[in-house]
Amino acid sequence: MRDRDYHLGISAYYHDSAAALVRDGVPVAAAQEERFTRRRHDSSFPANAVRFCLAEAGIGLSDLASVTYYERPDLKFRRTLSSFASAGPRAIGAFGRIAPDWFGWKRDALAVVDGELATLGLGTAPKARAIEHHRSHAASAFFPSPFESAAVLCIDGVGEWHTTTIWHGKGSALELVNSVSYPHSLGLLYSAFTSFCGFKVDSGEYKLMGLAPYGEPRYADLIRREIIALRPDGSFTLALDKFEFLRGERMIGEAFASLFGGPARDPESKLTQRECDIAASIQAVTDEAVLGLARAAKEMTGEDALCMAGGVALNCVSNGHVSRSGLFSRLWVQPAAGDAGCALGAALDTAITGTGRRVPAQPDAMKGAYLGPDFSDEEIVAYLEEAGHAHQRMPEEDLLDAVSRHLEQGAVVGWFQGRMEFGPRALGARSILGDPRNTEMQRTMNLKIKYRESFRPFAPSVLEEDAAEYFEVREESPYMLVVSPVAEAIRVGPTPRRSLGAINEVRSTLPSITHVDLSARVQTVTEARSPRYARLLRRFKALTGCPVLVNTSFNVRGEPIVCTPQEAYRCFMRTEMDVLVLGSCLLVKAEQAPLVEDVDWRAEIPLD
Amino acid sequence: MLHSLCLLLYVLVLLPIWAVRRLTGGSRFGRRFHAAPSAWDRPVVRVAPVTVSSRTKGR
Repeated sequence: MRDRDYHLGISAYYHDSAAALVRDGVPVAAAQEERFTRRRHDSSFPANAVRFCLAEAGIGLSDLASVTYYERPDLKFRRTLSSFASAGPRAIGAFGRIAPDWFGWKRDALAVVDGELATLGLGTAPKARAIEHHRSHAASAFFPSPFESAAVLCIDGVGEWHTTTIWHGKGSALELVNSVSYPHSLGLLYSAFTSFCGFKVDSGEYKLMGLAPYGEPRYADLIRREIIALRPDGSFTLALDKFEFLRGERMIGEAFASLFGGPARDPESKLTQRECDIAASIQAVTDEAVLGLARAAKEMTGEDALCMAGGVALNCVSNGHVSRSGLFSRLWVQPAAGDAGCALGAALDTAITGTGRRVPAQPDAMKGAYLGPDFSDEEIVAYLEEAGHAHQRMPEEDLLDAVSRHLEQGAVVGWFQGRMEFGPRALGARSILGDPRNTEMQRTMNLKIKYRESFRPFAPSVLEEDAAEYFEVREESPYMLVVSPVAEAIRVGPTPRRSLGAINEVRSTLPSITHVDLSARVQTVTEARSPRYARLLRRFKALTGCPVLVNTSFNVRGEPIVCTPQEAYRCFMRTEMDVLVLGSCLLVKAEQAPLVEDVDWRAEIPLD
Repeated sequence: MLHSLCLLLYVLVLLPIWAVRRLTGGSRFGRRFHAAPSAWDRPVVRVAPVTVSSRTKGR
């Protein structure tokens, strides 16, 4: 009989399926299913992620104390029915498409989870239980945080009924204080605007956020007047006559479009100043709404620390405003703030509130979000040699020297180290790196590496001890979830123009990571959390005087972040990256044989 | 068969509920809710006024 207490959490069947394993109240493994199946935002049962989590701990399903599903299907079913009961005759078609699945299996998703686990051949799992969606988010935000007590704010599209919740976390207890319920949802509001500006819902929201600084918030008053009512007490409601999502087919229609002088932008068509201004406007309103909710959380709990989760907590611009407002002395955002993180929250909630035992709050129970699979140097070398890929295995000192020199010379470097990150951000384990001082780096990376829209900004990693010299950061930011202004001392030139024409203007001494509004989405790096990455930054600093690197995720547009050395090599060869580092092995593009593929990968990977 | 049953459910149960809600305007999906002074699910009891630190940064 094992003397450890293992709890498995699962999120599945909507978007961003994931599995997470907690041991004695502490996360030990977590991964999104998309990283294994290579299908972005994969919603299928996370069989691969479950296998990984169990293998990482060296256990089987029979060793688990619990399996917890991240939401209550019964409540979600009732909300779905209630929603259609307010939709009218026009929604009958959508109901006919959606309802059979609900009556068929979705109401009983727990039994489906039990069945899926039984097919894994890894023993017999305890029967799955469920907790509420927002409780999963709240647990993912509070229990790994460094706080003994805190206010917890969760904002998303919708769980079962709740779209916004405020919790009070104290020790091993998590108490719901208040909520806003469907259909009044900040997440659905932001997604509606995402759709209107021609981006994909549930994957394009951060593009809208990145577009906002190119515009002026000239529609913000209109949005407050016609679309969302923000109240002094922090709550809000949507003017539902402007939306179509109640009828299940699409987010918005004519009533919405007429407010902005014309139809929605066609996906992949040219962006105009209208979309930039709309993005700026909804971002301004969202910032205000989130600040109002943060104020309410402060009033309702009296706490000095705030934890956040839910998809809207990935809006790092809003998070930056909360951080700088001074409402709270500390802010901690769950790195996997979306639904994947609910798998972790579900496991933590059962482990901690179920037992009443919480380990004393640690500085970083998320372990830098490095909770995914890793590959030893021996495994990497075995793969490279079997495949015949030219490489050099080096001691770390030589490796860091070589990589720093390449970066300094303008190379784009694929950096694959240690355990894969959990959550949407690359944090130095599965990253593509570049020199932020290079004026061409943003254009090069967008067009030749990521193959994505040219307006998209890149984000910096900086040694924590040097962060204040380059950015107006209030506190550590290890998960790249808070946007901060670049420091005055590094700004150059006149006040930047806020238009698409200003994309390639130089605004600071770190042009590749300085967005058009002089902001940056900063990752502060320490040796305690990211040892080798911190040492690379130190070596780059010793060579160049600059302790900052461009850090973007290791993938091309539309595909999940790479997981294995094989995927990293393939991405390296499909793009114009110059150098690839796999563990202790260095590969140079010029030394590689051309990649021969029998698939047209650009046609295979759907655009996001 | 299931699809047909769902459509029947819609017509016989959900549409009448929609009609009643439209007449009474009483649900959280209605215009009256949008005009209410608060959208919190629980009545808000003020705990203490919020004092914001003067240490604010950014634009």
